Amino acid sequence: MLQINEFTKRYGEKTAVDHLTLHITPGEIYGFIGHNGAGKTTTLKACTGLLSFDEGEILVDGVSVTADPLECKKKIAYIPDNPDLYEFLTGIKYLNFVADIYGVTAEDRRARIEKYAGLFSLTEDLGQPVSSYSHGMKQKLAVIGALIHAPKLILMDEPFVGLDPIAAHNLKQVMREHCDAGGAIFFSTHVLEVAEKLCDKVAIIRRGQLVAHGTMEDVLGTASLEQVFLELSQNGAEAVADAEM
Amino acid sequence: MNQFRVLLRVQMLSMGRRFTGGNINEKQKKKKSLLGTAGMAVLWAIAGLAFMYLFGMVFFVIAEPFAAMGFDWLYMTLAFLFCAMFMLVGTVFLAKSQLFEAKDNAILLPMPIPPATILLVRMTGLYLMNLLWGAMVYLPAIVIWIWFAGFDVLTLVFSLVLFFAVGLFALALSCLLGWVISRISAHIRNKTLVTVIGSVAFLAVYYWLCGAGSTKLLGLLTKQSELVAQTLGAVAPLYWIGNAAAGENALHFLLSLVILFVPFAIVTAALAKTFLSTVTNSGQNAAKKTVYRAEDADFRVKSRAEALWKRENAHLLSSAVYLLNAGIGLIFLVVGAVAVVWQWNTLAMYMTLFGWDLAGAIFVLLTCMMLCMVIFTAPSVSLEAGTLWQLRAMPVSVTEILHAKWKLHLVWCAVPSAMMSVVGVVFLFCADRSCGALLSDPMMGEALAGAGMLPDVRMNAFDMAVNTAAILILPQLFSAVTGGIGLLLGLKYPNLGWTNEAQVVKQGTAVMFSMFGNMAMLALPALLTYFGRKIMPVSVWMLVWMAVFAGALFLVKRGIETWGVKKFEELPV
Repeated sequence: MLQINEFTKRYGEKTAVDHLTLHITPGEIYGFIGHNGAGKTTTLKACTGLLSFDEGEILVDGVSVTADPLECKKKIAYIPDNPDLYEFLTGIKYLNFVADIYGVTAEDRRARIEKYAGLFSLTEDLGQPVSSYSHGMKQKLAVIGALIHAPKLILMDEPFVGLDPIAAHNLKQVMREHCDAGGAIFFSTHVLEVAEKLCDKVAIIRRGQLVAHGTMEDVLGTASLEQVFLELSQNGAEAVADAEM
Repeated sequence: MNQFRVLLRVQMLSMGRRFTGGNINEKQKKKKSLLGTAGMAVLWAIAGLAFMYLFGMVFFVIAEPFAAMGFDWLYMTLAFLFCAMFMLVGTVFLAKSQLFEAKDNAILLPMPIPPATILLVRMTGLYLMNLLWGAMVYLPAIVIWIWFAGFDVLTLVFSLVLFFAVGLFALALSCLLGWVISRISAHIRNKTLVTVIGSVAFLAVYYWLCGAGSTKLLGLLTKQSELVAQTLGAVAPLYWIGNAAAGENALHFLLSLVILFVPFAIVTAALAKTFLSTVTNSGQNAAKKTVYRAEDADFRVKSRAEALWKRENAHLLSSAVYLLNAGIGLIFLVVGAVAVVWQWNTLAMYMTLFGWDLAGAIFVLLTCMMLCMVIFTAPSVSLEAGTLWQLRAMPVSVTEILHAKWKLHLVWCAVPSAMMSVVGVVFLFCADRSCGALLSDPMMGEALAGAGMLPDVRMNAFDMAVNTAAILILPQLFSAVTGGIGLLLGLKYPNLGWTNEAQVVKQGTAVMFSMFGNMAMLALPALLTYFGRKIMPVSVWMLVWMAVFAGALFLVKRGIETWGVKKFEELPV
């Protein structure tokens, strides 16, 4: 579903992501873990076509993000870490706008809005302007907007930030259902417990380089994700310190 | 004090960026050229000088007789009244958004900064704006006064100090109005409509004062200055201020300072006390909630182009600042069309004086002048700001996005400019060309025309056809070209880091260049047509301009679809 091959992104002299290769297949929830500034958001944005890159290729369902970005975007939904939505629209107008852009039929959009707005307890507020929404409500609206066209691949940047426990639980359920139905999810998170319980596979990135990836069993062995992450981070930090000395 | 200094520095940087278009290129992170910054400074200087000239004309007329009659206090009172009014108009629309709706509220309020400090910093920004606006009145007023009445140190010093004090007084008024509007809008649902209606009413009064009102006022001032002196003199504070500014009375000077400062102190104290509750209760909760009901919802499927256009339209209609500042020309167009009907015979008289061959060109010029003030596209890219990721992540081409922005401009301009055009065409065919309006006697007019004592007012079929076509087509072409150029300027000078919409809509670099550029683009053909009509008939000039603008439209469209698309894709998300 998503093939990231030798993806490299530089900002001037700094290499934000260095020859990253990851393959995400249908049915997988793939967690992307790393410290702040490790290159997670850069990778997710590049997969969405929001960011050009220097080397490598990214394919969504076999279609190159650079060669045919529009075709890729039809298959993708993206939720950024802090979704700035159109505050001048009401919730329902926002969802209709997204549905129009993706060409969702009236019946499908009605059914999906009803289902997901109900699930996230947002139905009553859909008539309100987005400007009146709290951060969590905006996050929920962004999630519903992402699901409205039944994308094959969902890319999410810290999707649980701002969600209340019930909404977070419902989102995890929706993610699982989406992948069970043949979709795929690639998301970044700092909540290691969630990643451990939810993900089929996980990738750990440090300073733009992939340090570990694979199934939970492959990566964790008998340890917890937190232990592995800390160990990898520490080893990396020590390695860097040694190199600098 | 340190917090105040730090916040003020940020505020000044933000203001500086607004006026100069910023000195950092956001994408490349490199310094913008000195030439670009200097260009912006020159543009602002031209605008300032134009205002100074307008006010200077008024003071020039009254200074000499007032100096001769010993009405120096009256002159100064009027100067400061104009000053306060101009300051008020300059910042009243900004006060509400800058004081209470800034995007950095969420960042600053949780910090250990007293809310009053945040308020004071923002008020300082407004105060500096006030001084800038006020200087356009004060400087010509004082220079002209010194010219006629002679130089006096006390007059200069007292009037200068009072100028700064008047700035505080006007600041108090604009902040108070901003607060009132903010409170009212917290309890109404259709804020945009109410704000637009209120603002248009305010502007109508203002333009009446500047237009018909100022003519009458000038007549009153020159012919019945004693009556004016008696009336204004009866209001003691006005007399004190004028008398103090004229350097006549130190006691009046002190009294004036108190009178001007006290309202400022009261308003500042009151706003500081309520600032936190005002900004944290934006009104969304106060207004009645609309509960969504699925059975009432409209799930009609729209095409991508229609959805994008509706999104642009919704943005425009949701923002009174955007609608008013970028669309003021539309109101002028409607008012203009009504004014032509209202002043039908007067206009016919002027056409007779200027020459009927220019009638079509004059209508095109009038319509396009008002279209120059419609700048929907110039700020539209910057207004995307943090929401840009959405359009970029969706399966929609940049060309479609840019076309939707352009279409917004075209659609909103189409009907008002067509109204003006239709009135123009009807005028061309039906207006009285016999100079009866001029002479109040149609028969005399016809007789004089018949005797060749008046210019030939006939127009052949070709001229009529060309003029009609020009009146109908040229404004639409002009609107399309200016809208397209505005969009390109918006892409060239994006500002995605604004803290309130007014910054990009009122003072953005793209907006400034767009407005001045539109005027320049209109002035050139207008001057060439007027002065070149001896070389080539006006009708032929009109044909030339239709061809030129059609060509320009083609180039602008190409520019948007190539360079514009590239620039949009390069915007940081």
